[in-house]
Amino acid sequence: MPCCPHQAPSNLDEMANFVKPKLAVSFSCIALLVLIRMLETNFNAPVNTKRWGEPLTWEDFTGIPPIFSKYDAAINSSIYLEYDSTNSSYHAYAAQFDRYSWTRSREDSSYLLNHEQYHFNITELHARMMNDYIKKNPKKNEFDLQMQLATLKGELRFMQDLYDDETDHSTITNKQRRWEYNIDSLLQSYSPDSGLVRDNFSGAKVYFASPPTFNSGINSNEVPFRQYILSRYGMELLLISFQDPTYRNINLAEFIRDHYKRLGITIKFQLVTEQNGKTRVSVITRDSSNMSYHGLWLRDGSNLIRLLAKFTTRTPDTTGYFQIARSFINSFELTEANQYWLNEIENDTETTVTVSSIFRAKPEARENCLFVKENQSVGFYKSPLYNKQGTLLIPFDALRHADSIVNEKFLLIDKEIYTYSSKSNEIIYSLPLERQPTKTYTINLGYTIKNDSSKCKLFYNQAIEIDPLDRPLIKE
Amino acid sequence: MASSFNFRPFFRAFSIRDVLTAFSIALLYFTVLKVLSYAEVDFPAYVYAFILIIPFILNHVVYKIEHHRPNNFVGRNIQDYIFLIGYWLVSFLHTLIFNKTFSIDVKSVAYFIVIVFISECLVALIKRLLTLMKWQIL
Repeated sequence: MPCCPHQAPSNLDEMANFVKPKLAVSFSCIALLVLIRMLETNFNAPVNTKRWGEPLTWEDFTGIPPIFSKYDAAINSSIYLEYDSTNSSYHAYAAQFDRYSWTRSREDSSYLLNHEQYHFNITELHARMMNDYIKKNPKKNEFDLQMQLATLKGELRFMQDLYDDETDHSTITNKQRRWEYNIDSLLQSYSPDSGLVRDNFSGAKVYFASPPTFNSGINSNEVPFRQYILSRYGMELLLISFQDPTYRNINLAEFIRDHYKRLGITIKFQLVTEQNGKTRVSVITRDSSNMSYHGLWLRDGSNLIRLLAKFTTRTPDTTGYFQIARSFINSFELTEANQYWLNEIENDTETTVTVSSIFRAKPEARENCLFVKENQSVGFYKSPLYNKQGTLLIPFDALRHADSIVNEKFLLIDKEIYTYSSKSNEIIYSLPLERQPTKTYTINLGYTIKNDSSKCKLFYNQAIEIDPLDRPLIKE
Repeated sequence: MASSFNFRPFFRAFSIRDVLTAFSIALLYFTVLKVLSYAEVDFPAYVYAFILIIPFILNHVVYKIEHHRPNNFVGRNIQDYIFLIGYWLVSFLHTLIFNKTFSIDVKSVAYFIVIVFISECLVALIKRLLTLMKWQIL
């Protein structure tokens, strides 16, 4: 009798049919997984780690780009913990892996490299947070530190994703710049250098997310200036202090209007305020090339201080630049730098001066004399201050001539000549209490230069008027 | 209904081929996820949910073809858990071989076990309703 047509066929044959496809699928999957791994690791190329410090270059991106990825580059970095036997403590550091970082194009893509650098900077930021935690918890063991590290790594991943989301992987330029400013500011907050820059002559203090470039001199209008400038984030951030006795009497708002009118720049916004007896003018201007200038002007006696944030308005969205400008200007503060100079004298640094000699001027002298040149600006001085003994101190930065050609430094008061020795152009002139007149007097401070071979050397000097009533009472 | 909770039919027919089915589907699923991850494909969440359902359905379809009968409630659950074990084993081996460190989130394991059980309950309920309506499509 033939087999029932509905009876199940032989199991052995069916098992064999299905076993082969399952094994084929399994081996194919294993092969694919191995291939993906090989591509991810650049066929097991050696891994070079780079610690945070030196800027990244495209040579640090040796991985193979994923075939279907829509991105042009990617970086792989993480935080690690190591035991420092010299300090008997743990230390966290950020490291980048070249084999797992890749790029499609290395040509003319410094902007993209910068975006990846800031991914690495975010990792470094979290490494510093970890080190801050270790410092505050010196008794924690390795297990506890690893748990904290795991938590920080979660926060790191979140921040990295947020950075990419908000900047759309660097395509939104102004947001990219804003993130750069934020990350630099956060890195500063975990470093010994707080980022606050103070000019100890004018007392102007402002926050720079990266160290600015300093320069000083005398401009074309014969006005001494001290300037801090940072060209970064697609912007220019500037703090500049000018000094001229005529500034005492100007109407600041009118001065500013005239200044911009001469330059052909349109004032979009101007706000005049009084704070602590000092006039402040906030200004927003735009020039013909669509550069926007956010500024703050402040007059303090003979000093005119200017803050400036400059950026282009040609991009559709300038929110990020505006936020950076606002942060920069809002961080400004006018401080009293007296304590800095008093500390300088106590610490006996190169700026401290000792009076080398004092002699009485002889107007009839024809050699070994000083020819007092007409009063002109030769440098930038700090408004006079007094120490506990009543000694008058005037910090001074000679700007008209370079350090290398300045010879001797002098202070001239009522025919008494004080000579000073110091290694730096930046010195502190001092006048003991017993030598100070009781009524308002004028001090000429300045220097001679080395290549002056005349019998009466030319005394490049600046006159400062001193009112003895400004001197604080001396406590016995 | 009582046959749904009877574990004997499943264990009577249980063999290594059922384990091979679950493990190969687990390996296939893991590979698909790895390929999508490597290709940096960014699908919406519902697509990933759909991709997750497919291996479970495939598991039961292959079982039905091999055994010429559908699995019951108990058998489906066990087959699903074998699939999950296979998936975690593949993950473990992959991480161990290539990354040297492995961590398992106990919460997610418990989460998946509960989700699988609840899903199978729903499927059983739907199947029962369809049977009552004489519309047996599962």
